Amino acid sequence: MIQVIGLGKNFAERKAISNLNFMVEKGEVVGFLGPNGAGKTTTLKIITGFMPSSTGQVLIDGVDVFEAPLHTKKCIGYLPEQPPVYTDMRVESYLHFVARLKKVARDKLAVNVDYALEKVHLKDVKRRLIGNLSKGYRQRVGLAAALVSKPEVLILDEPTVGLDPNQVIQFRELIVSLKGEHTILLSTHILSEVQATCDRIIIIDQGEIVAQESLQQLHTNVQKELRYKIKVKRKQSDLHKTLQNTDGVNLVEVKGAFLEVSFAPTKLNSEQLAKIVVNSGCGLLEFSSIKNPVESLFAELTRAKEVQV
Amino acid sequence: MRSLLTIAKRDLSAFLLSPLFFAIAGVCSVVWSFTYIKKTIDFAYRSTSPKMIGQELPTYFDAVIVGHISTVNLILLFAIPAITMKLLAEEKKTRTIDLLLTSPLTATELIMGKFIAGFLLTAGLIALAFLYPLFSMLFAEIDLGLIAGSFLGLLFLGASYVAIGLFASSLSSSIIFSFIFAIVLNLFLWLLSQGTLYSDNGVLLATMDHISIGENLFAMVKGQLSLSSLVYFISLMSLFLFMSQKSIDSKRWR
Repeated sequence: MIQVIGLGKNFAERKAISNLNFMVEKGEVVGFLGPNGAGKTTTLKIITGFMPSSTGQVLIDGVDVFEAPLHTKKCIGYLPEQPPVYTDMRVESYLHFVARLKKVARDKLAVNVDYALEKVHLKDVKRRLIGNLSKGYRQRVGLAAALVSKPEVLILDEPTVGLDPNQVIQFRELIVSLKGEHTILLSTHILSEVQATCDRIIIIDQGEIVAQESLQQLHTNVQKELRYKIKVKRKQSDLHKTLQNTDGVNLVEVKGAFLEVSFAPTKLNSEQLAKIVVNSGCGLLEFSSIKNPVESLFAELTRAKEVQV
Repeated sequence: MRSLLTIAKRDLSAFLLSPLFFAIAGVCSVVWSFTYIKKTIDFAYRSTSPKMIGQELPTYFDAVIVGHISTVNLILLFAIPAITMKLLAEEKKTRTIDLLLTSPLTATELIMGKFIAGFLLTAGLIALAFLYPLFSMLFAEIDLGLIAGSFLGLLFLGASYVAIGLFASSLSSSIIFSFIFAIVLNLFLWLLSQGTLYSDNGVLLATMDHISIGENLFAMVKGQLSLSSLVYFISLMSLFLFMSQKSIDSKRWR
């Protein structure tokens, strides 16, 4: 559905993104991850036709965004980081305005506006001025505007920034409910959001793709190696040495007051590891599993880059 | 075409629901009321003055209405930038431009939609300015053709100021900058003919007169509906609308 081929963008001398290649299949929800300033928003703006690329091309359902922008823009619903809402308009009339801009047929205007209001749970506030709504509601209005033309592709740029925890959960549920109906590219730097909503992730750092994997694949990879976090009262260095010499342990790292141990589950299990720690007499205070595969991969890939720089 | 009207309708209703337009219209009508009444009283005083016995009196149109149009132009020179300053600069400031530039509409449709909204509001101000001469027709004999010519002249002038203001608004996200820059451009075009007051170079004088907005307005006010003035105003409008369109397009391609 979305095909990005050799995409690059330079701002004067600075390279924002270079040689990006990825695909998003129809109906897929893909997380577009990266630290701040990685080039996520630039990439999304190029895909939506807001700005052109310096090199490469973007195809939406096989049609080039730069050659037929009026056609591709009809297929895309875009929610930028700051929702593009007019504070002097009422929710319902704003959605009518957006639907007309998106060239929704006259006879479908009311149906589409109703669909967007229903989907984003805005019916109760449809007659209120957008300027009087809270940040969370405005974000919803922005999402409703992206949905009002029932586009095949939804591009969401950091949609949960600035929302309170309850609103974040509601937003995630909403995105999950949109699965299958739309192809979604979701940019974020909040990793738990990706785990909760996406089928696949693309990690970008300093304008380049550093990983593309399905979440399922990521979990499988992680199961090949387990990571545990251990905190002891004394003699941390002795325990460090003991663990390093233990069969099955791949890596032991000191992370502040903690030791992080990676081991192959085929050779060692967590019960045995705990026993080794207790028997060392170092005074076990904390023993926990590190289970976040996206976080681990993200940290590993983006930190590796930082070191190179 | 549909997108163009959608944009125009939104901007028009946003203006009519905000106090800004009514504040501008209020200030305009206060100034025009004061100056128009003063001009009428002066005319009445001169007409009855013993000094004027035996001398040819100017017509009511020449003595009062031409002066009124001059005042209207002076006020519009500032009032129209106050209307147009928000048209694009605010869209950029509030990032609603993201919605417009990712919607299936061309930069021309966007600019023309904004222009139509600005022009209709300006036409409202000009109609307000013409209530005074129309009211005077109740007690004075005024050539309706001259009034119509002046109205048309001011509509063309207003449309040119809107195009200039729209261009100024397309350049930055600062509303204040758009306002001031539009006034500077308007003043420049107005004062072009004044700059050559002390020159005796015939070619220079004629050229400046041709490209001065004031000379072309008063050519129309005096009942000379010349093709050159119409071409002048249409060219001026087209030039600034074209530059606004390029300015918006350049944001896409920068």
